[in-house]
Amino acid sequence: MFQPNLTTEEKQKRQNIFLSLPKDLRIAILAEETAEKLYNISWGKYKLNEEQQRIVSFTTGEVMLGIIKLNEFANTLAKRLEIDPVLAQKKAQDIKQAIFQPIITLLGVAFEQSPERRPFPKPVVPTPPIPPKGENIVDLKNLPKE
Amino acid sequence: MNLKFKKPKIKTTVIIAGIVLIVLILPNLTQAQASIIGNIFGNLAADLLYLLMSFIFGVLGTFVRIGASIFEGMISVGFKSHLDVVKIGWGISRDFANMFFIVFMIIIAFATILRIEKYGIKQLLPKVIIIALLINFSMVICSVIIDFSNIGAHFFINDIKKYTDQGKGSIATVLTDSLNLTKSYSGIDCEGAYRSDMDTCSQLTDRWERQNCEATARAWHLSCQQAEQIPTSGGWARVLSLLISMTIGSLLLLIAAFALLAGGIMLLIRIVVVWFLVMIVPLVFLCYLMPGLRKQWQDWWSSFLRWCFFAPIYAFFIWIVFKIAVENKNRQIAAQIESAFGSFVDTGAGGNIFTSNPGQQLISYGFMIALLIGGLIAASKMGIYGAGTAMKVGQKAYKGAARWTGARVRERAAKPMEAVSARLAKTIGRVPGFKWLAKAPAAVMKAQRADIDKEKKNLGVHSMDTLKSLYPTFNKTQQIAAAQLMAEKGKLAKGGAFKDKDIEKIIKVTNTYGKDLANALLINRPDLAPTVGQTKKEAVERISPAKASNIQAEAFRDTQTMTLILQTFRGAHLDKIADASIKNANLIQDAIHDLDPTGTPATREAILKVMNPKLTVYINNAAMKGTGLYDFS
Repeated sequence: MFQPNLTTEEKQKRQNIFLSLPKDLRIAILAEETAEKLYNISWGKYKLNEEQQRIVSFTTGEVMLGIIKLNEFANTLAKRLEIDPVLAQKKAQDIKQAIFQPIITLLGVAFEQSPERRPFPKPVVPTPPIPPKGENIVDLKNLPKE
Repeated sequence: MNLKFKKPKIKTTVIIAGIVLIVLILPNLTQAQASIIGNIFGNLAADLLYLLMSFIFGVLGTFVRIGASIFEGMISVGFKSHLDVVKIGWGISRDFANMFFIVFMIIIAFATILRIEKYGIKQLLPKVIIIALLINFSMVICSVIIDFSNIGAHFFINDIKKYTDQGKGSIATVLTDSLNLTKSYSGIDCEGAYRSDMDTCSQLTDRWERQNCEATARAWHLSCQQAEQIPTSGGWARVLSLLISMTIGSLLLLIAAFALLAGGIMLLIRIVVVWFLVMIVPLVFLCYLMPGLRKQWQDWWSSFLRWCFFAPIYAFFIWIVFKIAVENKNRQIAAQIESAFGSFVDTGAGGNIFTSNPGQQLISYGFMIALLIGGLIAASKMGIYGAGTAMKVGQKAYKGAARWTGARVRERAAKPMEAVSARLAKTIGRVPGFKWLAKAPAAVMKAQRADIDKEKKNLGVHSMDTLKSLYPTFNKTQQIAAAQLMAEKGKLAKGGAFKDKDIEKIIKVTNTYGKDLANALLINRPDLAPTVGQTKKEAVERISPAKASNIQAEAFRDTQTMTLILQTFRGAHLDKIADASIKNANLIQDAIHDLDPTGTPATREAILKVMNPKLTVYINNAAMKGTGLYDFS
């Protein structure tokens, strides 16, 4: 199974990235509440063991730091946890919902600011279909003459 | 013999002749003869001094009686309701204020038309109606408050009157008696009376009657000596002790006269001020309606309440002094303290109680005077005009005296005095009826706290760097205040002229001003808790998550403190620490790694799980792991 093994340089680099993030995003990464949410998903819902829990939180942290793209999150989890991609997708979805969704704007802003980081996909907000104008209106002037 | 020197020449001749005679005679005297002559001259000087002392004490005693009489007169005048006097003035200002309501109605009308909301109908009309009602009832409102304060004062004064009606004398008499003015300097000749009694007894023919008479005379003589402390030896020692007693006694009597007189004058001022304040109350209520004059409304209330409640507070102090004087508690407590601390110097050669037992008498005086001055201080704290002036006069006199005696002595005596006052408080606390006096150190501490708070406000405008560079130039209070400011900002670390040793020192000093103040500093440095007699565990356990960011790197470097942090803290603590300092978060990360330096993440996790299961859950799931922090690897 995956073992996060960061060199001192890599740690330093990542900590510099962390320090350059907006304050609210830093708070979200550090928050006890975030850790609790991850614990509730990893252990509470999917019964992952401690080692797997550490992999999930490590990968989540990488997404929040902008090291991993959000759309690669599910695949990365599947590979690192060595689990079925469908199951990984489910977990990723739950984490997105609980952790990323509340700070989605912050994540977007943070990654737009720094050209070094990979672009973070903005959420696509579905717009309601606009009905064609005058569909049900009868043009009395242009009525066919019979 | 009545010698009159008409010419200076004759005077000089007589003096020279006298000196020559003494020079010629003295070498021929034996030691015993010299001693007798010394005693004669000493006693002569002592008697003259005694006369002078009696005169000075007589004058000062009169001052005390005058002060006490003025005070007594004022309390009997001041606590009667004299609101009839102010009714005329109040009526005029009420009518004047009522006139303004028409103006207000016009203002409201214009403001409503012009849509100026601040003075519009919605904002102003309800207030105008309420104030219009209150103005007409303002006299009643003031009367209630004045009566309430007077009832408070009456409670104490009535209690005093209860004693005076029982024949204990007026306040002035009781106070002067308690200061030993009448008894100590009465000058009863115990020896002469004893000799006369014995002569009378010797004339009795019946042996049984004669023996009985002599026994009675001896018993009386003993009791007279005990009461009046007849001098046991004469000479120059007596002169010295009389001089000491004269100086200290005069000073204390002067303070007593000053305290009583100042109290009486302030009570007189109170009556006039309260009358005036009630007269203008309708105009003050009117000020409430005008936002620009709202301050006058607040000032009036503050002055009115302070002056009203000055009376019961000062009466309380006088009541305490009177009660102690009547029940002779001042002497009892003096005796108790003296026995607890060992006897003071007993000159044994005085002409009164003061000189023969100066320690006991000094304490006894001190209590009475301290309580009288206490009343003035309380009044001054309430901001009473007059009390402040009286205090300033007293302070100026004190400063002058301090310069004369040497300010250094006072400064050096301050530290031992702290310890002595703590012991005194304990001893006093054991005396029945005096437990409340043991609380005096708390009052001192409160005043010190106020000074620290004041300095904190003053120094709060500076940056932490400035505070650290100016630190050695600060006085003790300023240093404590500066350390508190640094600790609140999580900056209690060396820098500028603020050295490592200063941190430990200031924690120790601060602890003497209050444990909670020291605890505020220990949040920054829990590793230094043992310096003030606390355990590191106690200090670490007190740190809340919100304050965890204030912990300094030096504390994290202490192995024992770090272990306690890992045992005690929750995720919220670690979260705040990393947010404030990545360096400190790295120190925690190193400590987690050091739980089992050669082991695996699983073994480290197992160890921490035993120490702190909750923290283990946080570290397993912290997203911060992405940066390499808060991880078991």
